[in-house]
Amino acid sequence: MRVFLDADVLFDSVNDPRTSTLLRRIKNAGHEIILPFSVLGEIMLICISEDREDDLLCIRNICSELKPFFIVSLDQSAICNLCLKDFDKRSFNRTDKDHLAHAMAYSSAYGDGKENYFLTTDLYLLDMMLPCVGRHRKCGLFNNKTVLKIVDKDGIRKLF
Amino acid sequence: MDKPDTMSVLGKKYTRETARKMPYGGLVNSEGIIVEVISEDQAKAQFNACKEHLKELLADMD
Repeated sequence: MRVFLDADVLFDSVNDPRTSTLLRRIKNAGHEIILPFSVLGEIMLICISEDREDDLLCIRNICSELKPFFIVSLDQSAICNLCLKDFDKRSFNRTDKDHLAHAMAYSSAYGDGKENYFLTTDLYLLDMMLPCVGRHRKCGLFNNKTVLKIVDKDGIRKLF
Repeated sequence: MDKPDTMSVLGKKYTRETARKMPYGGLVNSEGIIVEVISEDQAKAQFNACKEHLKELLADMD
């Protein structure tokens, strides 16, 4: 399976060993850990603007251990972003929609049957409706493909 | 301008130069090596899956 990480998961892993252990378990079980470029951007912005050099170094070390993949500049993510913006109009964090758009764009490019999860610690995000899945589905991007699911740490633990 | 040969960058280091040759995006590993490139056909298939819904979206924005 593919596990896309939200920025808050990496920040959480700095202070909470249970989170870094969970990420190691995902990696050791042979699953792919994937970071959208926008997640890296958010981490850099927060660490630079809040003088959190130690956190940045710690996240760098965690990434060095986890050896994640990075999604770069997907054309489709602009379309997914537009769709996400319009579909659930509640006041979600805009950057979260950027991260999700990258994850949706990437996971919809491959019909390889792998399961796709977006791991977050943001409880509000778990409630977000996606335009390509569920009863209010609007688009056919995931036709015959495994849809992206938003999960928290407990949700991903249950999969092991 | 000629269309870039997107698959030619597979296995190469991600740089500003190689990035130009992957206009539809891709996947880079933690060593900075390009391990997957989205092809024009994949990008077109994704766009086509969204085309009808996009029309509605853009009409709503008028």
